[in-house]
Amino acid sequence: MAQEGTLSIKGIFEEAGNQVLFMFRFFRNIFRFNFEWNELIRQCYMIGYKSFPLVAITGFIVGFVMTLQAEPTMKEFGAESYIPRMVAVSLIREICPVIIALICAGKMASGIGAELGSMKVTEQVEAMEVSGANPIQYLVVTRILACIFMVPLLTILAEGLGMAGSYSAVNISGHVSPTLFFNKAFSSVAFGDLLPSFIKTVFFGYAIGFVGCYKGYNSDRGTESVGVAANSAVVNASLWIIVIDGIAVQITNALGY
Amino acid sequence: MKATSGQKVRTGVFAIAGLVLLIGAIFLIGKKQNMFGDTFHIYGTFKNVGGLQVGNNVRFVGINVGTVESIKIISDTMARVDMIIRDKVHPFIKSDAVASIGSDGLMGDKLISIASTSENATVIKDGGLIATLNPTDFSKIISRVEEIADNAQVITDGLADIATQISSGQGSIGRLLYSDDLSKNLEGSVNNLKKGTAGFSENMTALKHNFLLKGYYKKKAREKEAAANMAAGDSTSQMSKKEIRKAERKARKESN
Repeated sequence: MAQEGTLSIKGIFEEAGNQVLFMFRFFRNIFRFNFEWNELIRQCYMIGYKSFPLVAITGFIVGFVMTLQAEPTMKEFGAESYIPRMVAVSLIREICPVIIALICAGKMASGIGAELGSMKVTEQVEAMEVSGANPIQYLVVTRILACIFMVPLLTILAEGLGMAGSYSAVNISGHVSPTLFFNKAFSSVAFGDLLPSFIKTVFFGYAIGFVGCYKGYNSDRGTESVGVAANSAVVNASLWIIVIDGIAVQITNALGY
Repeated sequence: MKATSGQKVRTGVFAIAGLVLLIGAIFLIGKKQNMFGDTFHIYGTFKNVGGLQVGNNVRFVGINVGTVESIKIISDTMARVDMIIRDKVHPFIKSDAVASIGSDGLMGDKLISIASTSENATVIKDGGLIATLNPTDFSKIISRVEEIADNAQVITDGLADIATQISSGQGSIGRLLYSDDLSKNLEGSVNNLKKGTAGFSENMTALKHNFLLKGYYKKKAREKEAAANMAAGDSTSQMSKKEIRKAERKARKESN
């Protein structure tokens, strides 16, 4: 019952060891011959493209709401012209990467965990092994890589839509030309804001894919284990996202960005 | 399960849209930092950069034309600020232009503004040195204000002492305002003066009756009378000048 997490020290180490071994198997299988490109693209479609509406709506509304919330305070200080910069920097540096990753954890990690868990229950994974196919390469590598590729892309799109949301919120109270708005927004954004957050989302994607696959692949045989795998995948992936974010902030601060 | 052609196309479009946005953002940020397009470099040395940071704007005639590329300390009192500027404005920045550090609005970022001083000077060289004006050091101003405040305190302390002394009746002004002695003395002096003048008028009366001076006083009285008659008879009396002289001579004889 590795995924339910035993509280004994031995159990914790066993779980950690299993995860490390699973990680090695993943990295080893990336560079294997006969890579499943077709499956990777299908997973990108299922994971990335199908999550786009959810992410787009979230990004737009986050930008819109942030602007409306910031406006009264900024007005008090006579610093309304700083709203685009403030929204751009906060969306790009922190808000969009974390919120989108948490949403992806809810959608992708649970989906992968439930899918692989049900395959395990119905013994499809064993059947693949018996038929000579490599289930890790076909099921795990493609899903984790799809998450690694798609989460940063979804975050970038959400940031763009968040800025569009902010622009529409600014235009509720008065007209500002898009050129002026985006010039102001990008006047304070530097590479030091964009690149660390982009790199961070790659790790978020890896955490979502890895936790989902691990929980699903190592689920038990019972029917309820599918639900357990999906649930613990979401919880663990969300936790990992917050932990990675904390580490990333420390690293970017230490590097001076 | 194989990915269908439709799935592939949609995934491709989605990925390209994300990448275009990423590249667009990189281009916008890079453009702001003058990473693309032709540029040239100049540098200036400042005693105090006043919080200027790498990436701050460089302005020429109020237009953002470049950014601060690097700030290095070159000695214990000097910092070198390297600027990267768009090539399009190169012909307008002359060798005698002056760079100064200012700030964008009340709560804005620091920036360098370049001002021309003459039109006829030669164009500044790529990598050349630009003259600088050091920014106002607010700590210095504050220390000056502190000095002034200290002086003001010394002065007000002195004034307070003087006021206390006056109110306690010390010193000339204090005595003048608060002591009765002076007014009493003045009153005594006035009384003495009155007595003195009374004595003097008595002496004068005695003198008038003295035989040595009697003639003098009589003569004075006659002249006074004559003058009064002259004034009264200026319009009415028809006496000639001769007659007047006669009368005068007669009066003199009589008095003798």
